Amino acid sequence: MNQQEIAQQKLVEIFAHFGKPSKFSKGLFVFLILIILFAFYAFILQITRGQIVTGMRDYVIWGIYEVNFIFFIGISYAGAMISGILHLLHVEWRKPIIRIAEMITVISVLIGPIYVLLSMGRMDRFLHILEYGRIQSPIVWDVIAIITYLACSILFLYLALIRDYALLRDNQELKIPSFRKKIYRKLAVNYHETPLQKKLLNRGLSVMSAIIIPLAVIVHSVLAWIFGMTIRPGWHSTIFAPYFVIAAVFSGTAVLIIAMWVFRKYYHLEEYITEKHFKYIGLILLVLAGLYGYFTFSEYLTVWYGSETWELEVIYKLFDFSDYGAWFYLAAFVGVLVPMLFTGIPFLRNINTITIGSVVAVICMWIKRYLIIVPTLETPLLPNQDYRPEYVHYHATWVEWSLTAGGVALFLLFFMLFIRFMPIIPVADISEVPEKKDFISEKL
Amino acid sequence: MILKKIFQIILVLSVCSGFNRIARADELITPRITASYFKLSNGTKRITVALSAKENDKRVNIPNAELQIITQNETVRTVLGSIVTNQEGKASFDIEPGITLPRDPDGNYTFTVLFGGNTKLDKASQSIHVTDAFLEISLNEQDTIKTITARVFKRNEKGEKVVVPDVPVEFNVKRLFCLYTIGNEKTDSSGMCSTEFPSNMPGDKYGKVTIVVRMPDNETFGTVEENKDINWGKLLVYQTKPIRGLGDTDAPLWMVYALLVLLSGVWLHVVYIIILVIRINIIGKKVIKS
Amino acid sequence: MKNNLPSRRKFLKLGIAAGATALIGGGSVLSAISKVNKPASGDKVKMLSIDGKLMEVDRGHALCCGVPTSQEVRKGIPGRHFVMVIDLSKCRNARKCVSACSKMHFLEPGQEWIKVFLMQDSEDTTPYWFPKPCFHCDAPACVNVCPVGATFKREDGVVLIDNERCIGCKFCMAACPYSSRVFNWKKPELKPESNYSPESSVPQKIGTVGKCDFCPDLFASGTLPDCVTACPNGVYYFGDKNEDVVTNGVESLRFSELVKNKAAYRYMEELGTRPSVYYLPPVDRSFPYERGFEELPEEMKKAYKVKRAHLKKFKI
Repeated sequence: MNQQEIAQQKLVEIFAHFGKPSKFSKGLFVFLILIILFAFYAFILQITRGQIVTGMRDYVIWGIYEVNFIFFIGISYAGAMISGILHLLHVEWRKPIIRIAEMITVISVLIGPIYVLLSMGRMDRFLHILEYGRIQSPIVWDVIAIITYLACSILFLYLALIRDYALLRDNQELKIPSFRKKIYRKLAVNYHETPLQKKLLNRGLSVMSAIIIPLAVIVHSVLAWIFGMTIRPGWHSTIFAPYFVIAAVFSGTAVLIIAMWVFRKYYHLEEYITEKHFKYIGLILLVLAGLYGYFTFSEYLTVWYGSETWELEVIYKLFDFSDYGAWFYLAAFVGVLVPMLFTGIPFLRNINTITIGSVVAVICMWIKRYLIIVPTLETPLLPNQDYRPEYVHYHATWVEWSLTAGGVALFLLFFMLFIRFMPIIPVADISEVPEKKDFISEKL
Repeated sequence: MILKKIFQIILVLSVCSGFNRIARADELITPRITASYFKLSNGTKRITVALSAKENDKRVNIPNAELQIITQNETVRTVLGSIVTNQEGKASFDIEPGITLPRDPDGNYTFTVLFGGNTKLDKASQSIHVTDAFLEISLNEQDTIKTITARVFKRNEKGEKVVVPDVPVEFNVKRLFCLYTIGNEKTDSSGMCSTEFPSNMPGDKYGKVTIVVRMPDNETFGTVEENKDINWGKLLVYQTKPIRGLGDTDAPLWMVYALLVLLSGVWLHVVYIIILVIRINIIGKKVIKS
Repeated sequence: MKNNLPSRRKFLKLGIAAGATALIGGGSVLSAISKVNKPASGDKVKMLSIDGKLMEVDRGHALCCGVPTSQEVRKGIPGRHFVMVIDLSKCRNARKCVSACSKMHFLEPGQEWIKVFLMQDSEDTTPYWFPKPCFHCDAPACVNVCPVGATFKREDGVVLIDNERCIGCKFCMAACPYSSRVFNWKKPELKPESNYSPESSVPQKIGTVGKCDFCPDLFASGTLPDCVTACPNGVYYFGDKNEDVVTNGVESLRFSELVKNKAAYRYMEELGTRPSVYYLPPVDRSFPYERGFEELPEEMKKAYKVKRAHLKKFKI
């Protein structure tokens, strides 16, 4: 066996995951299942009693279900953008992290639409969209876009997995249960690394990564247009689609960094995911945070300066400390500056601080999306003169929070399942001798 | 003669109600019946009745009460039928145009509405006397001025038609929810009055309007109504909505095309990739064989 | 005198039949009885539905030919354009319109389709009461965004909701700038017995949207919507713009003249939705606006006081 094959064998052993799951793994699994069961109970409650069990009322008609939807679709950009763009640029250091990125994409696009269904008053009539769908409606655009996005991201993930499954199929030493081996064989579609097959596969990957980038842009733009096409202050802004796209790439990258940190720690991947990777991704995060801060600043400055009454009502709600002020300053300032500091200042820059910056970014992005949706809905054109407090201010109920927790738990659960059946580092790619040295890795 | 009759009825009623008040120790409430007479344009005579009573100083309508309609003169007394009041305590009774009704010597009709009473309500009755009146409408257009002329007749003791002067007549145009009044006149000595039809009144798509001439709430005649259709209105021109638009069932064509282009652009690539994977599979199979 | 009268029974049938057809077919006859009338709700009428089933329908919600098909319901009455004119100088927040509408449509308390706002256009102007049904816009934002076409605009200008198609996504509620729509967050408690039609909007269904519908089920009988007839001050005028006459049940006026003489306007014309409800400015008011607080429960009074609080704070 030559050098490459030895390296490959080692990697396969690490990532094949045939052994028994560890205690921690089992414990986490049970914990997640419990959360999901509790969320399921909340779900049943909502189905039987109606959406009255949530905090949504006639003015604030969309609450944290919509926030979660935008959040999850947003973090899907990890795979689409990072993996896609880096692939097209043939950046060498992308290799260890693209699998994680693509998994994040697929899982979040699976979970996001759950919240759309939850926010529908009549989930049972979901098929009406197929029967009676009107393409003038941004919601129909969104449904079409997300279905397409899901199909493409699954394909993208699968294409990259073909080589790994071929490796696992051909591996003689590891004791793989025959049933599993059969599945790997099927999924590897007789890939034997012949020159023609390799060419076709690379072409497929290039095409897919080229397509998934504009597709991701369209998906999140369409999502932004659900809000942007209404004449409400804070929503009817021409910047909305680019704003959402940037926010999505920003939060997607942040989640990618967190995932990298977790897997590196848990599976001892220090050799493969190095500080270099964190620094590079951190630089991308820096640029995105800067862009996001720039968009935010432009948006709010323009609205404030224009001084239209209806628009100002929302702006002042966001700046007033007795209302949403504290959350706004946290999300818009801390959420942008902290990641920028930790990724931008060289002596502050290391694996842990970059990850902390990413955690701050993710949380603040969730808050920011809440601040996009709820204050605008609390500020209708005609004064809200309802005498019931729950109709004036939105407060999410335990049903909504538990379903949010359920979604996060489901996200982690899917990850755990995916890892058991897909190598978390693309083994075949890693063990390859790099075709050419890339400029960036040389310089840094 | 008529006044005498009315006085008699009122006397009877008050005595009855007084008698009731004295006689019944367990307070039966005396309901009130209001009755009005309408003559519709096709000759149908309609009696509308409302039954109400005072309960705790508030007037309350009585639903589901059965009332009898009776017509009579000095010799004949016929029960025409019975009606039941609706939720608002109102009911109406129609008499078809061909029916001959008993007249008194003046040539007038008498209608009585009787409420039989129940455990809580006392008996009550109300009578109305009407003189049968007729409205004739004539429509005239001269030099683009359109005039509506109405003539009021009544039947005298001999049963002949005679004109009625000094009677208020209302000229209306029938609209969907109401009658729009275009003139209020009083008949002259020959029983005629007229008003001008406005030049800018919209009609239906043929320009048709229905002119309704009424004598509203006349003491002697009740309410008499007559209508006539004529194409004096402005033509109603309406466009059917465009079929394709932002708010319609079908989207604008440019939207459909744009969506098709975008979707096929992406899904064709998906199909291409799937074909690629199948090709890899086929090549692989050949490699195994060889 | 010979008695030509047929039997009593036949009379009864004739009377009721004539009455029923007159009520449903003849508008002038109805107005001949009294200028203000409506077939009472709860009054039942037996009818054959389009597929031949015998059913009992609430008279107020019955149309001449039974429950209409969804095609007819979506088409509307061609050649008509229903509009409403609201005279703000006469409104004193009596809220009889609100209670009549809620009663007719079996709405839960707090789920009113007509909202009465206390509006104050700017700091120095006097507040006035602003009753607001759905505006039935000619360029409705709600219709544009509905993903399944559950809300639609008809040829006669009325915008309706089909609660059997609605998926409850509430996009229409986000798009409507006038807060016209309410949502059925829980199962409606009142259970009226009637067959559902988008024209009657009764019974409401859980998880769907509801709003003022201009009572199109009353059009065929020439009956005005309940809010119009219930108002003690004659604030609401309703009619067909193409006929150019609107009426509040007591007085009927030429729409074009009313709009011209009283300087009618549409609320926030610049939003581009082209509403079908016109307002007459509160000139020569019949009541001081403080009258509107007299019969209100305490909690509602407080709600009316809080208005644009943030703007006051930042001195706009």
